[in-house]
Formats: sequence, C-alpha cells, structure tokens
Amino acid sequence: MSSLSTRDLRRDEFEALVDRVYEPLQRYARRRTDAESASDVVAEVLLVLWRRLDDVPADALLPWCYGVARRVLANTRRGDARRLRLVDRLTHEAVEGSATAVTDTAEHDLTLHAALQRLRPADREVLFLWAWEQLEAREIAIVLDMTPNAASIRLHRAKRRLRQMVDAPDAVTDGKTGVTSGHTGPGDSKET
Amino acid sequence: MDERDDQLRARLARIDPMPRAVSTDPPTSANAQDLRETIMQTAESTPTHDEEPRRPRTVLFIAAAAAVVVLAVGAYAIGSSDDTDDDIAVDTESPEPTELALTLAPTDPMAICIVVDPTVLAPSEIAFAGTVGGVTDSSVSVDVDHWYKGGDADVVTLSIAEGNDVALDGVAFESGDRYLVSATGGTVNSCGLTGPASPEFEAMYAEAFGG
Repeated sequence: MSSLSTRDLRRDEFEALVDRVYEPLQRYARRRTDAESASDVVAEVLLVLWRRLDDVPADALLPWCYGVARRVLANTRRGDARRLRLVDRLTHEAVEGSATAVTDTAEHDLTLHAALQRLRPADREVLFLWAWEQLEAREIAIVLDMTPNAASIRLHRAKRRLRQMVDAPDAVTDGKTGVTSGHTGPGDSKET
Repeated sequence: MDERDDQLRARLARIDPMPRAVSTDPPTSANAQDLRETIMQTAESTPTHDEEPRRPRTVLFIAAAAAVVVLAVGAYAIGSSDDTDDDIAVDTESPEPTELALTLAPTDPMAICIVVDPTVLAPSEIAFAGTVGGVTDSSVSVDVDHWYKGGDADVVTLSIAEGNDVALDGVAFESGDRYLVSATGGTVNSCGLTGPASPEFEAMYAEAFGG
C-alpha cells in the first residue's frame, strides 16, 4: 500500500475546496461585474486558493474566497474606471424604466433602487454581502478584513440608513410602502 | 427588529442580479476541470529542487531579424501566409500527436517593448502554455499543457530559418522549462508577450484570454 504524496493530498484538498466554492464565486463575481470579467475573477481566486491552501480558514472558506475576489475586482477596476458597477447599472436602468436581460429577473423595486443609490458604496457593499451572499456579520468581517465588531456595527448602520432612505418620502413612492410602477417579477403583471 | 430585518433582507434579495434561477457553471464541467488542471500545474511548474530531476539544460537563443518559414502540420492549420518572404507549406494531414508550427518574429531594432497588459495580449490569435521538450539549432518543441486560445495541438514547434542567430528579445528557451506563448498570423509574439511562465504572467494570460 503506497502512501499518498504531499502533492496528491494537496491536489485532493484543492479539488474538494473548488467543488464547494466554484459556483458561489461565480455568483459573487457576476453580481458585481460583467460575465467575462467574472470568469477571470473566479480563475484568479482559484489560483490564489491553490497557492495559499494552508492559509485558508476551514470554518470560513467562502468568506475568505469572497475576500480574495473582492481584492481582485478592486484591482481590475483600478484599470477600468469607466465600467459601471452592475448594481449601478441596474439601478440606472430600473429608474429609467428600461428592461434588460438582467433586470427581467430582478424585481423592479424602484424605491429600493433609488434608496440604494443614495447610500455610500461601503454601505451597499455590506448590505449586498448580507442579503445576496447571505453572510452574517462575522463572515462579512472576514470578507472585508475587519473585526467582527466593526462589521457588525457597519452592517447595523447600513441597514438603518437604508430603512431611512426607503421610508423617506420622495418622488418615487406614493406613500410609505411599495412601488408605484413596474412589475414585481417575471410573469407578474401589476397595474401602475 | 428581527422581523424588519428579515423583510429588508428579503426585499434586497429580490433584486439579486444572480438569483437561484440563473444557473452557473457546475464544478464538474469541462471548463472547471480544465481550470483546475491548469492551476495545479502552475504551482508544480515552479522549480523545487526536491521534486523530479530537471532535464539537461540546452539553451537556444532564437535568431531574430530573420525571415522565417511557417509549416502547419496536423489537424490545425494556422492559415496566415502573408508575413514572410519564404515559402510557406501548409500541410493539413494529421499525424499523431497533433502538432502546430509557428515562426519566431524577427526583432525590430526600432520597436519599443510595451509593458505587457492584458489588453495588448488579448488580440493574439493563439495563446498557450507548455514545457519545452526538444531543442535544436533551428527549432524549439513545446509540449502544450494548456490552450488559452486558437488551437488544440499537443505539440507546437517554434522555428527559425537556417543561418540566423539573433536572440528573440532575450527569451531563452530551455528544455524542461515552462513558457507562455502567444502568436498572431503564424508568428510568435516577442517582446514581453511570450516568455517564461510565472504566476504574474499566468494571471495576465488568464485575464487576457479568460483562462
């Protein structure tokens, strides 16, 4: 019976980790950039994962990977300042009322989009990690490389600010609740 | 407060640009496996002296400023025949393993080496990574381990015409070492667009060609 070499063990471990993070990483990246750049981001993260296999925290694999993806995205953006972030583009298109392939699958919640637009990017970032990646504060801390306390506070404040923006009377809403135009989802039709 | 939290979270989730309904590439896909293999070979190609014994080193400085001959062998035909004065033979029979031949570009003493950027790399027609096997006075053979773009041959031969002996911008092809090679029009790109594989260079190739 031959023992596995260190290299074989590393390969097995890497493959097992890739199985767990490959699809979530695609989702993370495609929420934040175009499809082509997203696949570059995923490849880059997996490369880092392979090279730093020993550094990966077992209990926070995905947040750690998101953290790497976030840095890769930031580096990419430094070289391409013209590229609108996907959320900004979505917001812009939702407010303009135009439909795209992406906004067809996302609800046209104009109130929410307008409110998000008024937040700082750092607030949006924690809110999306919370709501889209479904991370808790201690996991967000790993993504953003801060203490769990700091992440907790930032998330709490971001939620509060978003609620304020959403509840604030403005041109998009005709009351405290709801959306005045658009439809609530694919297949739904709602009177405007 | 918790209920308000849940409602807010759900409301944000409804504008998710990548909801469950939108599919992603599964880890079992050919794409994913290819990516994994490339990555795992990347780290292994970094020389660690306690691993396999290195093959004997033969340094070949590829002559540039030379007209070159393109031969396309195997299932893959390069196609372009407008770059050189020499005759170009295109042979589309397919021996095994599949092979591809490219020429090394003549150096232009007036050319300035641009800082390599993915946007400069991306228009290349051909890009691959591989390890140099055989080296002769006039050609270098590369065993391809990853195709980024433009082909699927197992072996690529880089050739120069006889009698030329000028270096390809300082790229020394050594038997046993791994290189990233890009080419357009049957001619290998020089000047920083082709060279020894390194993690940074690989990341640049991955960014230029999408992995």
